[in-house]
Amino acid sequence: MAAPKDALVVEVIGHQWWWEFRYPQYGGMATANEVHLIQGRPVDFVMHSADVVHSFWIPRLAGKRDVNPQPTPPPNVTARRVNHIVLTPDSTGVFWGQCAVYCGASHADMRVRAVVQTAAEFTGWLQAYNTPPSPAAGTLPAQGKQIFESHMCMVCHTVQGTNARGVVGPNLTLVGSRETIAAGMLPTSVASFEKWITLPQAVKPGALMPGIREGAGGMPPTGLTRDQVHAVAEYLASLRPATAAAAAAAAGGPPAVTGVPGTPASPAAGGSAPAPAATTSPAATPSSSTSTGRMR
Amino acid sequence: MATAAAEIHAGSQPRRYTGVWDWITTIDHKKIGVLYGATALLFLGLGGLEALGIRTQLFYPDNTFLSAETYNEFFTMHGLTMVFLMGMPISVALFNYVVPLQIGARDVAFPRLNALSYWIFLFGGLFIYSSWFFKAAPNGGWFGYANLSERQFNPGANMDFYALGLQILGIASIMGGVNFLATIINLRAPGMRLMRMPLFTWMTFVTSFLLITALPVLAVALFFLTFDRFWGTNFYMPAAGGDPILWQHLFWMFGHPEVYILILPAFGIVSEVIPTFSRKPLFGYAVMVYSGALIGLISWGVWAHHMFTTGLGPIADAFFTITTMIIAIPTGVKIFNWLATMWGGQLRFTTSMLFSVGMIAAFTLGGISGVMHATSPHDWQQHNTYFVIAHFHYVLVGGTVLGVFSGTYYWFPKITGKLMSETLGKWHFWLWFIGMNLAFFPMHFIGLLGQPRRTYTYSPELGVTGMNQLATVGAYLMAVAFLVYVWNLVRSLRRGEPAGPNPWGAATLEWATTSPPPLYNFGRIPVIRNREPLWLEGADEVVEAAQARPGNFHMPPPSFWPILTAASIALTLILFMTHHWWAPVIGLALTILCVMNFAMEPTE
Repeated sequence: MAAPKDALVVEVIGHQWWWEFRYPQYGGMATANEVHLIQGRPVDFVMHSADVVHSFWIPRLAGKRDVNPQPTPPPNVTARRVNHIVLTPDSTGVFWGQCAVYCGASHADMRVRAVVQTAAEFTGWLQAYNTPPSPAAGTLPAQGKQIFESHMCMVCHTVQGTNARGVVGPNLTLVGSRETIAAGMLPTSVASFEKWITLPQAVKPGALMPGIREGAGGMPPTGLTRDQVHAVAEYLASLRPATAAAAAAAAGGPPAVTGVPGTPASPAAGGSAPAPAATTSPAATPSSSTSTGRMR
Repeated sequence: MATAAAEIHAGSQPRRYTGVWDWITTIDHKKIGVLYGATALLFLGLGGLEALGIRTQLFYPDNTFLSAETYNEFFTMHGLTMVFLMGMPISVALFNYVVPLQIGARDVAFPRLNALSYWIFLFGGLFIYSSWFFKAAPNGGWFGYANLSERQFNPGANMDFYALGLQILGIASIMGGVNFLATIINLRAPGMRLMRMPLFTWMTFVTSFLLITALPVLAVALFFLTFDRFWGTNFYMPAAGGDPILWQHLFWMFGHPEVYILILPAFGIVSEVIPTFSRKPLFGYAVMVYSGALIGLISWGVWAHHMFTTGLGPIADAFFTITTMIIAIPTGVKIFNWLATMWGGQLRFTTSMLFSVGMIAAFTLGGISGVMHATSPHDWQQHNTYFVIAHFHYVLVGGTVLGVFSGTYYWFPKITGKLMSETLGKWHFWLWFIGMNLAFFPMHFIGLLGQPRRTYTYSPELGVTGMNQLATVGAYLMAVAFLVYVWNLVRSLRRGEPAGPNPWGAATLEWATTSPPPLYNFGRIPVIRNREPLWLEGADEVVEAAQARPGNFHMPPPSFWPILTAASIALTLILFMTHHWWAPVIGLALTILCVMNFAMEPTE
């Protein structure tokens, strides 16, 4: 299933229990758990796993494909376990998906959203990504940023435009503009960030992220106070595109998550027929009606 | 049944025990069959409890009845139990009891090996279940996909119990397979040609072939896993050049023949029940035999239809799509032949017949969704969703379990000499059948709407809450039906109506002898002249020979060594899990000692 030459290449990397997406054609920019695609442009998902076998499945867009860990090849041997899904999304919208092969404790919590945008919206999102927002000095988000950069957070996470450059956990650039956090488990809001930072294990059992009092994944607890947690949550929620282009791109109706695969589309034929507002996502949080980099 | 010992007045019978000791030392195929059946029933109850836990958790989205970790243990143990501790042994129970009687033998070919099989199976099951007491029940799914099952991602003892426990169970199954092949090939009554064997014996024959060829593949896969986990080899570890997909191939090379190991015995049962209650010989006997054998053969060439999403490439996907579709042909032949057997027959809808007819209906539904999976592009959507769960529960509950229920109602009078209650039986059937459809039919839609299998929770946004609740109600209905069944078994055992040798007016040889049969089965081995020895000419002579006073022949004595050998094998593995290299050596020495004594024990 060779991809067309003009295809948007998206590298999909499965992790226990979240999805990493990289755009090698755009300077290797990375995002997590919410993949942005362009309406009408073929996309080539190039998939492999960082740990165990996962399976990438967005029912409305295409059938699933396993995301395999790569055998470390002997010299001069190409790794053979990379899988591809090639498809052309033909309508905009947010499409729901989930890991489809049992991958450990929180397999059920490894969800994903595909955001299909027009080319202009996508460009706006790219620009926003490369001109990251920075909270005004003296505000609560600014305090949060300072805590984020001086505590354990930055060991594992990256936020574009800051000195947080960790690659173990999800890239958090523009995380405030995603519909959900924790791989689809919580609607994006300050309260959700607080809940997640305080005790990630309660949301996603087995997750490698330490809580404020419970360590995880071989790491000690972060030891953040309630006030610090609140500041960090405010900071993360503020990570939304600030550019005019992004604001323009965000104009439009309320987003709808189409997770119901009525007629499975073959990957070659591209995405399924538009299904306007088949289900309205409860994850369409207050933040989703504000001017974020969301499609429509 | 303990009185069977007293009936023996032939041959040399140096010592024989009574009561519990009799059951522990028995090498009588009938008692071993009953032991297998009782154990499998116990595990059916346990696996059912796990299913209820699963269904209760899924009653609401984001429910917290079970934690994620516990839920994962529940579905893993549910699968392991239902496949290895219920599905296979409950078929083996009927093989044990019925096959020697159907072919006119006094026992299986290796009665002592048969006892050893049972005890190894029992200790293997107990070994796996003991994991609950260590808070380390297997949690990697019954398919145990590498590399999730490796120590790196699963540091506890959970998957050690899985790898070692299945290894023990595999030994029992392989020994059972060898035994039944030898029995069917060598111990048939005079005149019982292969093409005069009852269909149930034929399906046992095919299943035994699958057992001895499929289980060793699983053994290899499990050895690799054990080596990886205990000694740091890297068979499935990609970081060191290993490959998790090797596990997938090995597991499904075992796993697909396994599916037919589970279903072919039920095909055999239904092929006995339907002719009896239609008062007609089986339609297209020869074709039924060939299609059963063909299913067994082709089952070796379809394993990668479990791997359409692995990324094997279009050629492999196309090949396995085609082979999988081909297997639907002999299966369809069987379904049509059962219907044709009933056509124009004098139908009697006893409980046994109801279960068989229900089996045809439910299994056909499972077969149809099976063909949908076979279409690989279709499978890319359905794979690993609840749609698959719906499919294989229709096949295994609708096929295997309904078949086995039919078989127990059918042969219970032979085993105990008493009839089961038809009233309770019909309650059992309807509760179970309705519950089953309520539980599994909505799962087709749950899967198509996007809920993957093995998920401890789901989001309300999927829109599957109502259907999940329906499925849960169905599961509880099945639990009620199971209790009715057990009550029927217990009640009928204590005060069922006397059955007589042939309560159903059936045609096959097991109904010639008394109910329950004496230890030696047949006074004289009857001479078989046709396929329906109790319906066609010579029936009187067959019955007379079967119930004649026994001549002078030797029945081997009971032995303690099978249970001791099995216990020492289990002990070896428990000691192995201590991670001290010298510990299992003690168990191994004990095992060798037991095997030596077992082998040297006089049987005269």
